[in-house]
Amino acid sequence: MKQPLRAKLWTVVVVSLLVFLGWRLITGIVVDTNILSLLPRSERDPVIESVVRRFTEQISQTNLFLIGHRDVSAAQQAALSFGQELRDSGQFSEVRDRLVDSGQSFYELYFSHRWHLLAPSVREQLEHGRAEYVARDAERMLYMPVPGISSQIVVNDPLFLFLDLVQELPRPKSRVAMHDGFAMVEAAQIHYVVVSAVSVQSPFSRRGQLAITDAITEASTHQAARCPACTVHAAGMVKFAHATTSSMHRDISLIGTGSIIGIVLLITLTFGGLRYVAISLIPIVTGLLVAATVSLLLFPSLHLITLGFGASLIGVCIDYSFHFLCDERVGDSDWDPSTCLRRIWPGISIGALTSAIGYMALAIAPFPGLREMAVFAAAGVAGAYGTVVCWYPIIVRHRLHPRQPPLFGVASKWLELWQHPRRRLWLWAIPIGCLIGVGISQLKSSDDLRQLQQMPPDLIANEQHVRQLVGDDHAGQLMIVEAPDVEQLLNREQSLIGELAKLQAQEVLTGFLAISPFVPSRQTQSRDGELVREHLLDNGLLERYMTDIGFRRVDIERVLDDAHKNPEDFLAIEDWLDSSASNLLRHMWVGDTGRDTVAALVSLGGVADSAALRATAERLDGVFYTDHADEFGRLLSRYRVLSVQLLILAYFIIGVVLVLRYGFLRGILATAPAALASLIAVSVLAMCGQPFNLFTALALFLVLGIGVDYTIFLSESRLHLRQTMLALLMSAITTLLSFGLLSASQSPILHNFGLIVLVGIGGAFLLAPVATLGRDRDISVLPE
Amino acid sequence: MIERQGDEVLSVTTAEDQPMIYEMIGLFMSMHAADRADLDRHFQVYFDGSPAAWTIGLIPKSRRLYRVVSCMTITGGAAIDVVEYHEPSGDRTRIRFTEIQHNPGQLTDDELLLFAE
Repeated sequence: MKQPLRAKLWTVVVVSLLVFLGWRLITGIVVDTNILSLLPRSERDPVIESVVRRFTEQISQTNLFLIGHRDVSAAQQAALSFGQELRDSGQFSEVRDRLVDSGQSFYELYFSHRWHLLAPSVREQLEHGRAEYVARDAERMLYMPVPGISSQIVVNDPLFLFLDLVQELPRPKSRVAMHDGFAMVEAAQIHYVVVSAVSVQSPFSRRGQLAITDAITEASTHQAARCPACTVHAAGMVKFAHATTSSMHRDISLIGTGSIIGIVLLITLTFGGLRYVAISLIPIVTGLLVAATVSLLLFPSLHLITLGFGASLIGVCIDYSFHFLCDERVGDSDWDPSTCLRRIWPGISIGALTSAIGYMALAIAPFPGLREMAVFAAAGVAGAYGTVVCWYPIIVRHRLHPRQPPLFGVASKWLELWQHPRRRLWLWAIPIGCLIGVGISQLKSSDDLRQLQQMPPDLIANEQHVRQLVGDDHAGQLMIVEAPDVEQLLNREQSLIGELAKLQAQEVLTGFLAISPFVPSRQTQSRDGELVREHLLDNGLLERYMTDIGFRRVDIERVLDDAHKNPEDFLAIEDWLDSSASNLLRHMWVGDTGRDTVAALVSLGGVADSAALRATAERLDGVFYTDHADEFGRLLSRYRVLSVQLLILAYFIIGVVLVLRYGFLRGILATAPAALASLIAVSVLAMCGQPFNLFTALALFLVLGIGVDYTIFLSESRLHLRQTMLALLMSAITTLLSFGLLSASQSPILHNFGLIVLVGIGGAFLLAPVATLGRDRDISVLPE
Repeated sequence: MIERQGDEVLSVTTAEDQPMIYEMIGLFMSMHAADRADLDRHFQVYFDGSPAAWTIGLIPKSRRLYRVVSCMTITGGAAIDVVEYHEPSGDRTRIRFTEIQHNPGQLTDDELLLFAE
């Protein structure tokens, strides 16, 4: 293809991508910040997975506030105005400050079912044939020296079956008590009202978290102004998400600016002139443009970590222009752009290809986030490569001012040092061998998700403080029960609850919450009805009791009629869901799963032994147990092992390719520097006390992709080794500038990743001249 | 609070299980002890009658208590005869005390045992 035609075609590609990117920018780009979305959906059943996801989403959108004051009614007033402020902000779909009195709704829901929906203690008494105890307890209630039982209840439910049921319904284990319709806790003589608010937007979108944080801050500030003696504690995912995002934003702008400044300085010093800076920036800009556009074409949103990773792409994108410009700078007097391109073309093509292969290897693991990074990086490399190959010969038509750059001497010197290898090789080999030996022996691996999500300690302390005050230990651990229909679901859940109660007695967990105690299966309700008939009605116990107490005959007849009426009129799940009595637990009902089954959640508290729970879930039909941190840990560990295996395979394949191209010895020598540098990088990581995790393994893929480039460039440039070495030195410096800054990142993932690439690429550059050792001496690499 | 019937303990209620009942019991106690300060804190207190036949009316100050009991009356002479709770629903609970002994010379062994607890 003729040069001008190629340039025109490339212009068309770039402009059309630019138009697409512009359109996406106008319609709004979603920047995702949830670290969990980088991780794969666990390889579980997709239905169970989506159930868990929906539940964790809901938890992440719930914010908890404690409004405290020494005086109860002052705290209640403050909570009401705080809640109103949250409502007015429009950021919250559901604000709970004063709760509706659930007593009335429980009455409406359960009272008519009292003859076949028994409290567990009453059920037990009847099962053991101790009906007279039920009567005696009712009598005792009547003689309590305090009022409180309405006469309506006494004449309609003389045995207080309804009161017992409501009394024994499970409650979330918590320190919260109801006062005047407010959920309150008391600690250190301060009375706190618990206010909860569900945000409209996800705390993991940048826009959402800013809006939610602003609304909370504003409400808290106004609250402090209105009532200086009040304290406000807030807990919720949004704070963590906001902190992580802000720190990542800082990192990205730091890495981006640092790279750019370093590159501008480097170019100005080396080539002498801002014109070169402008020329070098073109492939970076087009590279990032192509990267962003292609990613947005393939993925609905961009993850913030992808952008952080992308910022470091700058260092790679500029490499190809360095090869071109170094050739121009140091080349012969009859230099012209097309011969230059012909000279460097094989090197940068193979280099771009291996880099792209290295990046795309990231996409092998089914991690959505990694696929995104891989596409982003590979597209960026392609964009920068295309720009250099298509546009540079047009842009740099003539040689400017030939001048030997200062770094040229340094690069040549380093190359020369390697020309008498026999002596020096041992000098290098011994310390490197020791370093690797010591480092590898100290290497530890870790797949703990919590380590990857390091959060500011003050936020964690605050969160724990709030949870402690509220006494909530339900940390998102779940069991899911699935069955073909509601009746079987409730039966399965009831047998699960039986098992859980046993485990609770063994202190495997501290508590659990489920739906079936609120809506027992029809089977259970019908059995309860039989118990009532057998032990309270048919033997005349109820009638006798009412007569003894002194009820009028007409009341006795009415109660007995009522008890015998409609034995099949059971409480259904829909009744419960429609009633405000289910307000606090309705989210545990999943309902239709979309594959002809129904499901419900059981929330677990204070889990001490997840293995025992997993074993229980496996033993029961249709019961699934999930423990996010644990499951992701195992997943990360599996992919860590897998990617190390893939890495070894990749080295093997690249080694074979290079041996085919360069012959056995030179092929091996071209592969060795990157491999050796990777070992050194891992050793340094171990000595810094950092664990080897999946992200370390992925960084090693980059070292492979970029490090092998260096030896390929040296192997491909037959007569211009010194120019190539200069280009390598410059690209290594820029890569180190960008990845070096990545290792200064607050995010543990980026830090670990950056450290490996920093040491790995640095080592790969320093060792790159090894590739020249197998050459014939007579090339006499360094014509002076 | 411990409930007994004969020798058998029927139930033990603690303040944590039933804060509301406990508060009521506390008031019940101060009513009997005629602890004026405690009563004034929780009620508007009215007196009627003579020392030989008196009535005390108590109207709860807190909304919370008012929703359970709108008014209490205690009538008596030398000792308390009747305590009556009026609930907002119109229900009434009437507790009558009979055979009240002041400073009995000797407590039975059973009684001593109960007070020891």
